[in-house]
Amino acid sequence: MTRYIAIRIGQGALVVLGAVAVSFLLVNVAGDPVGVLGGQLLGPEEKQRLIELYGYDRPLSEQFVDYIGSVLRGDFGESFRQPVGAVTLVLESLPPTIWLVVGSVIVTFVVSIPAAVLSVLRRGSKLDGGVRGSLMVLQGLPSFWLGVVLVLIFSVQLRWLPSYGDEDWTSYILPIAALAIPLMSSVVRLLRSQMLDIMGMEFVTALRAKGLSERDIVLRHALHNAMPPLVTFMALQIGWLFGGTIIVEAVFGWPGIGTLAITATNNSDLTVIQALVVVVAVVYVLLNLLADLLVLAIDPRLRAS
Amino acid sequence: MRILRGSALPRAGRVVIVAITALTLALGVVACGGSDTPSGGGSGETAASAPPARPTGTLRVGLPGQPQSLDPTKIITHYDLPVVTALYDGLLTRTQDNFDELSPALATSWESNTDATEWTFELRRGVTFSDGSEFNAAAAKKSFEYYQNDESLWGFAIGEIADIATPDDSTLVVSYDAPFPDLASYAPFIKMISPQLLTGSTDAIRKRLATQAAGTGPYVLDSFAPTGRVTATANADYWGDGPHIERLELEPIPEESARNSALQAGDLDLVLGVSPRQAQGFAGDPRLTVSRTPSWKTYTLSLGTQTAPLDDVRVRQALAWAVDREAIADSVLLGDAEVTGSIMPPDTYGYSTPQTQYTYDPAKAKALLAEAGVDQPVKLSLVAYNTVADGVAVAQALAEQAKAGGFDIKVVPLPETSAVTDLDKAQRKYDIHLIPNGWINGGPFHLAAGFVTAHANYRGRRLLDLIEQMRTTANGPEREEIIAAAQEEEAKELPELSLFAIATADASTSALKNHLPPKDGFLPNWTEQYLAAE
Repeated sequence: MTRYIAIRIGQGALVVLGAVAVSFLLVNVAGDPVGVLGGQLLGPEEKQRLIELYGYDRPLSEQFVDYIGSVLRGDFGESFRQPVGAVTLVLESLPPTIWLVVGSVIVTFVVSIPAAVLSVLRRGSKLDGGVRGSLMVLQGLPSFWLGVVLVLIFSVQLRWLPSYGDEDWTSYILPIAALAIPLMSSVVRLLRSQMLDIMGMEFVTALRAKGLSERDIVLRHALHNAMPPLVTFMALQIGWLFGGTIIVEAVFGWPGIGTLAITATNNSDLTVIQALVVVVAVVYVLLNLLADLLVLAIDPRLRAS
Repeated sequence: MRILRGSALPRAGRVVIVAITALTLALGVVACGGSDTPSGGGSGETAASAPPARPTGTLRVGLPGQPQSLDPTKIITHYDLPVVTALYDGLLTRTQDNFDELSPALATSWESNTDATEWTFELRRGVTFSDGSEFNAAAAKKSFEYYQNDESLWGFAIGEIADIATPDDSTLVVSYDAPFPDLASYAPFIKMISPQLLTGSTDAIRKRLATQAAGTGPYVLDSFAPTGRVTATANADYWGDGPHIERLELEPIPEESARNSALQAGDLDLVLGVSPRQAQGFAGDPRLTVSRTPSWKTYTLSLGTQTAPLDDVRVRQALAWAVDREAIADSVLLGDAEVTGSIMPPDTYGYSTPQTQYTYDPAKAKALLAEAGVDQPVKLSLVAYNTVADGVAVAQALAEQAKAGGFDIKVVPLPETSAVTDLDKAQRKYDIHLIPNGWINGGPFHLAAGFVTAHANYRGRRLLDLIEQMRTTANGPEREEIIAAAQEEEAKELPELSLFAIATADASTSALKNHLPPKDGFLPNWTEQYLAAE
């Protein structure tokens, strides 16, 4: 098991290294960092002064080694546009996004697990048909569209919920709904099919023979056995959730990394974009690692192997 | 370019050009309006009610972007400047009902000598900064000196100062070796900063001013977060009338639809800058008011004059004949833009209509192309900044129209900050840039500062000489003649092809009274509006 964890950590480190390399290349792919920083009307001497100041005249390999050193120290330099460290900006914007992602995951679990259990317990019933029909519709709804519709209904028309910001807990309802609803349908479908597979297995027949009720079998055995693939699936969805928040944050004026990414991109704020790429990669890797450990915790077969 | 790099502009001034190019005068961002008179929540309803006896209520304002700093010398965007304007005053200001004229602010009177090499400001007495320090000539001098710092984006607004004298506590004299006629018209943008904040090294000051503020403005800063909102409270010791609202909450919401939904949902009271289409959408909502002001903003096409085929003036003129500006103003900007024959917008100092005019005449365009000996259709690329409201739609309509005139124009939508690095180059990647120009000082700003010619890398001697003369001639009949001649020459040579003058529109809840968008597009007057009781 230790070896497995070590391998996963090693793979995560490689992903982060890849992200660091990509973020380093971003500056060069963007063309002329000094041009972006100071514009095209800088005289040749001033331009040269800035190039030397920022070390853009040194060999790429040398710059890359220095860059890795800076990344390890958590120092990406100041934002091109604000007198604040790029990492500070990213770290300040990270919590609102993480709460959004975590909230969406919790809401997804809270709604999807009972829905899937009910659907399995009453399989073939009208309720099951209703759940499955709703899922087909919900799965096709993109988050940004859903976000706009939710704002129009609950903020503009009914004026029940705030349309933007992260002022208090009510601000979380609509953006979390916009992120969680499309995800719920995937989770219910996955859980339902996993549990139905399990319900057809021999050990379930044995359990029935022992006189356990369908309800006990589903809740205690089918659901438990369906959890490891669900956790793995959710870990994979975290990337999608982080991507989805960029759009959802724009729709809801949410002060997270999505909004920061849009602002930094529009302002060509290269250091902030670099810090964003690396920090998001680290968070993504850590969350995936956490999911792996969770799977290990709930699936004894993996621990044994 | 030659002019900008010549002796007239200080280094700081050159940095500015960048900023202006790069970041913002692209404020045109929010075009709309076009009637000859201001309209909306402001003017019409003022008489019906009056401001409250003391500042009342909270005004929640949607900004189109995250304010990057509170340092008045480092900001230049349409979402930074409204914030700083609430906190700081300039020596002069412009009022909503008389925007075309300068009004006293921290200076009660001002004058220049006949050749505009010496400006004298009589300063208001008894004014204190929000940190308690006194506003006087020494404080004003210190602010002017800070505006000369190497990274100041507003060097162009103070010019190359030779000397700043303070003969007494309430007199400031700014002297120049060469005439600098536009100092007064830039004065609303030159903010007076508490001397207590201007101590130590320039770097220390810059860091301090990024997040702290102490001015004499109508509001006092409560909080500023680099990734969030700005809040401010009415200045109880404000020297002038107002403010009439107790608290300002300025919320950065970059996405236009999110800002507008927040306004419709009642979560915001005022959105600065709405597009024509959105303004039309608000028209049917009795809870909302759209205020319009014909502004000093224009949309123009900057033409790369050093790259074939636009290096031939006949091809540039053919393009002017191939564009039906009236049709675009009607169909894309919903009739709210005003087609203007000059590169300058109407109502600015020195504006005149050149004799050289272009109307929609595709046959003439083709004939000129034939005369120039270029193969038709002439293939060109046109960049439209995706931050400019309706910019891409205008560009696409234009490209479609120009087909009949012998052009094949490919529209390239790009983020503004990437696209502007292509301007000014002798060998541009893109032939044409659709750019918004804010003529912020109500005068020949983009011409006099050399942006029009520099962006196009234009090198025609006559126009460059006229620009040099206009920059160093005091206001008066002689300067007006020079500006008129420059507009005529510009229209003939077309480093930039003017499309239309546009206006700004702000949308607010109907409870907000006496608010008008500023003509300069940057400096809302935060002292005049108020919230009517429900």
